[in-house]
Formats: sequence, C-alpha cells, structure tokens
Amino acid sequence: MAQASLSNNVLKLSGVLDHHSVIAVRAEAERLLAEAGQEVVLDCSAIEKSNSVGLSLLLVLKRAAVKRQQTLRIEQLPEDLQQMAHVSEVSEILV
Amino acid sequence: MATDARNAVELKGVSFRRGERFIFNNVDIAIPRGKVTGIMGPSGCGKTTLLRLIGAQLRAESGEIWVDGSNLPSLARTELFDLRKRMGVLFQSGALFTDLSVFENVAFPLRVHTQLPDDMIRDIVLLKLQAVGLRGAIDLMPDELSGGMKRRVALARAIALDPQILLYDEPFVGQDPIAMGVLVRLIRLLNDALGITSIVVSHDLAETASIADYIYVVGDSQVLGHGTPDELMASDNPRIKQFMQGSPDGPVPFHFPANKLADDLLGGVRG
Repeated sequence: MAQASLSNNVLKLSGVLDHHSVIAVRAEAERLLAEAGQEVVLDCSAIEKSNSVGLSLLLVLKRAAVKRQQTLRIEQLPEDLQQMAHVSEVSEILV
Repeated sequence: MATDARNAVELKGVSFRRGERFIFNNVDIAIPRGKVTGIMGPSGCGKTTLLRLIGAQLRAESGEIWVDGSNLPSLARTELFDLRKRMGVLFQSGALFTDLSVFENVAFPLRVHTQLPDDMIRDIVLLKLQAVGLRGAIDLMPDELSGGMKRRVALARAIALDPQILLYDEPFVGQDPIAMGVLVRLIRLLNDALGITSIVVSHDLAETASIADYIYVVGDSQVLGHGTPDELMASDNPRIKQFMQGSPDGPVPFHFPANKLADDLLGGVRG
C-alpha cells in the first residue's frame, strides 16, 4: 500500500512503491502537486520500499513541477532509492 | 524441510538425469543472499542445466529447489509466474529480439509484466540503459551493436523489472578484454548497489574468481568443492586443483577414452 499526502506545501510519499501501487499514487501525487504552492518539498522519508518505478515517479513529479513552473525539492530519499539513483547516475537530477 | 533465510537459493538433494546419464546426482548447493556466487566447472558439466533448474525451466527428478523461500516443485503455475518476475536472466547468447530496437528490447518485460504508462516505461528504460552505459544506443537495432554491447543491452533488459535474483549464463564468453572488464564491473556494481543476489555460471576462471564471493565447482554430476576463490585456489583436491589451475591433464584426462594409438594407426601390425 502506498499513499501521497499534502500539508503546508510538503508532498509526502509513503508505503511500498512497486509496479502495481505506483499508478494510483502517481495520480494522487500529481493532483496534490497541482494544488500546492510555488515551492514544494517532496518528502520521501516514509517510503518503506521501492524499485525503479520509485525513481520514475520522482522524475514524473519533477517534470510536472517544471511544467507548472514550481520548484520541487526532493528530501530524505531512502537508501535503496539513493543506490538506484547512483547506479543510473541521476542523483544530481533528484535533488 | 525449511530453508535458511540467509540463502536466496538452496538445492537440497537434487538429482536430474538426461536419459540414463546423471547430470546432477543428489546435489546440495546454497546461494547466499546479496552475494555473487560463481558456479564453475568444465564445459558440459551441467552448469546451464543448473540455471534452468533454478529458473524452473527444468524439473528435477528428485530433491528440493528453494528460491526466495519457495520450493519450486510445490508451486502452482501462477505462483511460479510471480516468482519468475523476481528473477532476471542474462542468457549466454544475449537473446535480444532482432526486430526490436534497443529501447523496445529493454521495454519488453515492462510492457508484458506491468501496466505502467509509456512515460514511466521510458524513464525506466533510460535509467537501465544509463546504468550499463548505453543510453546513447537507444534507437539502434541489435545488428548494429558489437557483441559486448548486445550483452549489456541484454543485462539492461534483465534488470528492467528490478529482480532480486540475477542469473548470468556464461556472461564472459566471446567478449573482448574491455567488454569483459565492463561486465565484471557491472555485475559487481549491480549486486552491491541494488542488493541483488547474483549467480554467475561460467568457466572463465579469472573473471569469475575476481568478482565471486563464493564459488561452487561442479563436475561428474557432483559438487566437487566450494569455498571462497582463495580457499579453492589453495585446495588440495586434485579435481579442484586441476580446474582452478587450468591444467590440461589430471583427474579429468586430456584424452577422451580411446584405443591405443598404435592399434588405431597400425591396425595392430608392428614393424
């Protein structure tokens, strides 16, 4: 089970992000991002487990933010996602 | 019999035959989770058969094969299908689809096994190709790639679904030294960074010994020995010694059994 929530311009992702759960979470996160202000923090501290779809979700939200001219700052990326980002050399993009 | 959670794969008392000939006879193998384990042995000793048994492409005659906590022979078809999604295989041939571009080859398992939208499939394909250094080759067709590049695209495809266990079937065969070095680095990197359990079936001693945390040497339908590369190098077992030192003659003879040479050449008539 994975979820997205928004509070004070902090968009929080939580739970297990996998190939199944990511689709619903993405829709919810994109909807919440559209409601958020100009500067948004994407809090990843409550992501329990993920794989490459987690990285893709972060990229999807980054692109959506750029399109709306929002600033999206990714914070507290879990270790497994950090390692994946390192292997695919996208750590600098996901900040 | 329960399995040890520290092991990603366990074979217990496994036997497999082709006709009357035992390929494996009552074999026990434990593959530790999160490590690189080499399965080594001379050509034709059954290494690829072992991978097929672990991948449930072949059924053992007897014994238990535990993969990620499940005993393969006891699984229903759907459970087996789910388990296979957690395993990636890098085939010896690469086995790329020749009519599909590099992008579509890597995207293939994502299209078949997930409902992800196109933009997320594209992200994952780009991420995997970047990891193997071939993002720039995304639009090429397989026949435009070198042998080493094909193997790396196949590796990107093998990790597309983020497998927990990655099976490599003779990954170094036919590769030039640079391509071999790249593969060695990638296998180690993917294993360590992504926490994958890697099983490398190979007869390339130097490359496998350089990345394996643990090695099983198989032959004569048995496990001839197992240990760290250093332990096997120092082994007194003549069969292990012959294999690890690459000696042409030893317990595994250079000559296939035959009549006496003189008898064959002179027909038993001596001058």
